[in-house]
Amino acid sequence: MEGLIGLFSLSRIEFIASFHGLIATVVLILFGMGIAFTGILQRNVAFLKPLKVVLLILLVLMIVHTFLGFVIYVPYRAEGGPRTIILESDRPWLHEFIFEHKEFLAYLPWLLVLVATVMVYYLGARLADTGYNALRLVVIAALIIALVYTLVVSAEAVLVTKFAPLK
Amino acid sequence: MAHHKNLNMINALLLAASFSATIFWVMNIFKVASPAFKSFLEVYAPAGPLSGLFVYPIIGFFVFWLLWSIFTIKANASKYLKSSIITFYVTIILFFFMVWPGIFGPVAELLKG
Repeated sequence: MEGLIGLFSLSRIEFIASFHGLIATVVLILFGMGIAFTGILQRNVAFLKPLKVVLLILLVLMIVHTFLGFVIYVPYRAEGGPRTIILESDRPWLHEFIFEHKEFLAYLPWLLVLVATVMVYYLGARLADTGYNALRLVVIAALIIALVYTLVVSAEAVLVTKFAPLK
Repeated sequence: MAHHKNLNMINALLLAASFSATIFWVMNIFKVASPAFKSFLEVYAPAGPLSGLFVYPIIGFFVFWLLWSIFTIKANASKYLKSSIITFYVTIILFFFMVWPGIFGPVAELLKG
């Protein structure tokens, strides 16, 4: 009960930041499902329908995740916020290198998921044909690279927020 | 292989994503090199120039996708598919390195002169 009360006493920004992190974890499961379903599509086209559902949910979550990242970026860069704390500390590289790379790299994963989703919806069952191997590989590659970039962004975010958390 | 119409749409999609990723890191270099360009990118002041860095490449993606789908010759689509796929792979991998401050920082300094 005490923990529950503590959860509700979090500030709005702390709550959004936690939700942002939660989405980053949930999408990892969906990435795995998307990659697996696309991989076995050629052997069993019945996986097309669940693949479409998974990718649509993944796309919506990635867009919400990126938007929430923007919401919490505002208090991060505000005067006296974590950015100021980091830049005035003995570890300014945490912002100058790690956070900067994180905020820019975060642009691509949602776009790669959008590309994979549009391709799957547009090509449909044809994506299971042998003649479409190269395009099926593009879908898998887009999802794998989006997953790797999401993992890198998450790891960089953890490095920064452990040193100067949002409050 | 696929129908030309389908491939033209896929070509447009892959090249639009490549274009969007590339203008993102190019604009980021100019943001560091030019204070005037940095101000131009401040679409939403509380988020600073990062707001413009996201907004303009997103607009660029959809405009490029639409224009390429409409104005390219659909009969040539399958011929260019391999090039589109290679361009897509190269640009999305290159993006990872070009947004690392240790790389874009020195490039921006060179542009400053």
